[in-house]
Amino acid sequence: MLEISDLEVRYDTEHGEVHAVNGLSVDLAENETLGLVGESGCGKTTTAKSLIRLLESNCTIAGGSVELDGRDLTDLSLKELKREVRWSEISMIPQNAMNGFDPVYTVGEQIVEVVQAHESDTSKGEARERARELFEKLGIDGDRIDDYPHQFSGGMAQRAMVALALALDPKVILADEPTTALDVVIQDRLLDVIQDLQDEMDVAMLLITHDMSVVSERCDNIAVMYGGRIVEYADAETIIKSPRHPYTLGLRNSFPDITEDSQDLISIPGAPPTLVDPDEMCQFAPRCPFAEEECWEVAPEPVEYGDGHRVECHRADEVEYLRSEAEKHETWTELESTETDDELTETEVKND
Amino acid sequence: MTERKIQVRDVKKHFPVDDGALSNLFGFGEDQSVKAVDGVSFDIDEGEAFGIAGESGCGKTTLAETILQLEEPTDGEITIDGRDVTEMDKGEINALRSDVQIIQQDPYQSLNPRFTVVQWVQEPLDIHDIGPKDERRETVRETLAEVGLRPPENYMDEYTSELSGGERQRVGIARAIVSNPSFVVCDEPVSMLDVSIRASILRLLDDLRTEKGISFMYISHDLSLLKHVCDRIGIMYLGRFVETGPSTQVINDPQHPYTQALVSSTPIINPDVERDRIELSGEVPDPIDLPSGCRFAPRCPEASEECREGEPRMYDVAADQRSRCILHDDQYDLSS
Ligand SMILES: Nc1ncnc2c1ncn2[C@@H]1O[C@H](COP(=O)(O)OP(=O)(O)OP(=O)(O)O)[C@@H](O)[C@H]1O
Ligand SMILES: Nc1ncnc2c1ncn2[C@@H]1O[C@H](COP(=O)(O)OP(=O)(O)OP(=O)(O)O)[C@@H](O)[C@H]1O
Ligand code: SF4
Ligand SMILES: [Mg+2]
Ligand SMILES: [Mg+2]
Repeated sequence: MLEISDLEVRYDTEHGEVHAVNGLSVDLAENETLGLVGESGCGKTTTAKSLIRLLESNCTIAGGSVELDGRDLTDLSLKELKREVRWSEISMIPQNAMNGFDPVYTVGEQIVEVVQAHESDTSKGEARERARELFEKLGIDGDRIDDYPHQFSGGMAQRAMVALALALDPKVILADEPTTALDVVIQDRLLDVIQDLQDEMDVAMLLITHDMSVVSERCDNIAVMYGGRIVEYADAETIIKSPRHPYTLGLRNSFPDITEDSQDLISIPGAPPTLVDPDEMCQFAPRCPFAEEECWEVAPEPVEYGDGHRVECHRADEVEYLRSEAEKHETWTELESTETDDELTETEVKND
Repeated sequence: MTERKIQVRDVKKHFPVDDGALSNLFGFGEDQSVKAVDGVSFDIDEGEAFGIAGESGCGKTTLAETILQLEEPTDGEITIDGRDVTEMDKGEINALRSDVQIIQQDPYQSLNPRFTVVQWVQEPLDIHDIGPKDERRETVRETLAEVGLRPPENYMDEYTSELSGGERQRVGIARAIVSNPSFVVCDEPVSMLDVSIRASILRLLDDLRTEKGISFMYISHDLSLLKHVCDRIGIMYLGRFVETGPSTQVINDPQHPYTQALVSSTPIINPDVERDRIELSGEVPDPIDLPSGCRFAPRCPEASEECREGEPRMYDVAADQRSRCILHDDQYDLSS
């Protein structure tokens, strides 16, 4: 239903062009929940926002297409997109829920306004009633639609944003970390509400989150993003149980587990790529314990491993070896110590 | 006796509700307030990490802001290093501001978009005149590298509005630790970070605790995080603690029905395990019109008539573990 192909999105900055999304392709089917995970700054929010062009002024879509039911959204003018797509076809629960609301109007007024802007035959009373119902479903007292945004706690603002995103029965929901401010009981409830809606109306959802347990419980498929690209894609079980990409393997080993007592978590050493005018190479190479010469020179192409499992890594064939090495702490810490050595020599050189 | 760094006694924060005409008309204007924090007590020692979890909207952020004097308490006593903060004059509060810091929950709200990263992180040093002027930029640079914004040069002169959620969150962390405070409140400090960066940030904060004796108060919905970094935790429900104790013990063996529901609702990563979650039914709690008796009774799977009669006290349930539930009372006949 939603087909994203070779999407390129860039920010123009003083340091150069930030290639926040760098040739990203992924599909979303009716009723599907696709989890989008990846390091902070890898381009998840930019991807979601570019689909409905909620972009800052220094940001442009530099290539690729976004097809919704066969219609390329990148061909639409911003005006058409706002009128025909945003909220009504594709709605977004933004990462910054609190900023999503205007502080001078009550939350209810703002929901009513969005509903009426798209459904001219819905009365104010009906729109309010819909907002109240959604609030109650999401665990907020219905009377609180008359509160101003600052009177809400972080999690209440987040749920109010979810109510807004659901108010117009969209076909696709882009949910950018919709549960960061919610306790697990309400998180469960919120995801249940969305799930029911998905089943009722065949709504698809792109779920951006850092919470791997949420992804593993709620998503059909998972796309792992690194440096502006999807480096691994498969059904949820495959990603959790038998990933192939070294980044996913590292990620897997850094999940904390509530059922275990204090454990020393593996963290992937080094910093994410800056994405400013990136070189032609595997973007993960500087941090990858398995990087070889080829990795620094050639960007890996996606390779299929059956059942839609796609991986972008030169060494994905050696999966048994990668998996057993990635489980060892030393694999990642050795890299860290060589890295700090490099930094030391660098500063020494500078001091001289 | 160990030094009590922070001492909080029966603190309350009520927000008046302004629905003017209506409440005057019906004459129930007396206690129409949001009881965001409604009688909370705890201590944090030097070099200790205390954690708070609880339902969204139960008053965690308000509690933190009240302790740090960003909100004026309605009632109660708060001492930091043995001094009552509610009685401090302006100068003393100002001095306190450099010594206690908060990493705010929403990094989209709390960062001033008109500041560049370096200006924002350096501001506490400038305001409180910490360290030589010409070294401050370097201090900021090092702190940014510590929170994983590397290389720091790439971020320093960006406006905070040009950063991703997780990048903003780390700028907030850098600002909170740059002035070398002795107490830091972390309100959902890593909610927007992926697991890998998360682990290194938590390690950084924990090193500050063990090496410099900094005290921490962590607020998070992530129980495995609290278990990982905190010595003791308190579980809050509608403005009060319902359970307190050593974090491992409370999470492994929760005693209060709310904590039990919370622990059972935590999603798990193993696709082969179906978790056994305790469903909470009942209406949404209203912090204006509190239920009589136990505040959790309307939603509690274990509730009985007795629960609605009076609010239960905290019962000792295990070494250093306390729970506010009538089921722990010996007088109460469990078989009925
Ligand atoms: N307005 C902007 N101007 C310049 N660069 C930007 C702007 N907004 C984002 N970026 C950069 O683009 C990259 C991708 O940002 P994006 O917000 O998409 O990341 P993300 O994956 O959502 O991260 P997070 O998990 O931290 O929210 C980051 O390196 C970020 O610094
Ligand atoms: N300025 C205010 N005016 C009125 N009510 C407020 C104000 N600030 C907070 N509240 C209310 O106080 C209660 C507690 O809010 P608080 O932000 O402390 O919750 P929280 O536990 O931090 O929740 P979350 O986990 O969602 O961030 C909520 O019902 C909220 O609506
Ligand atoms: S292509 Fe090379 S550097 Fe990139 S992830 Fe695979 S092994 Fe590591
Ligand atoms: Mg983001
Ligand atoms: Mg809060």
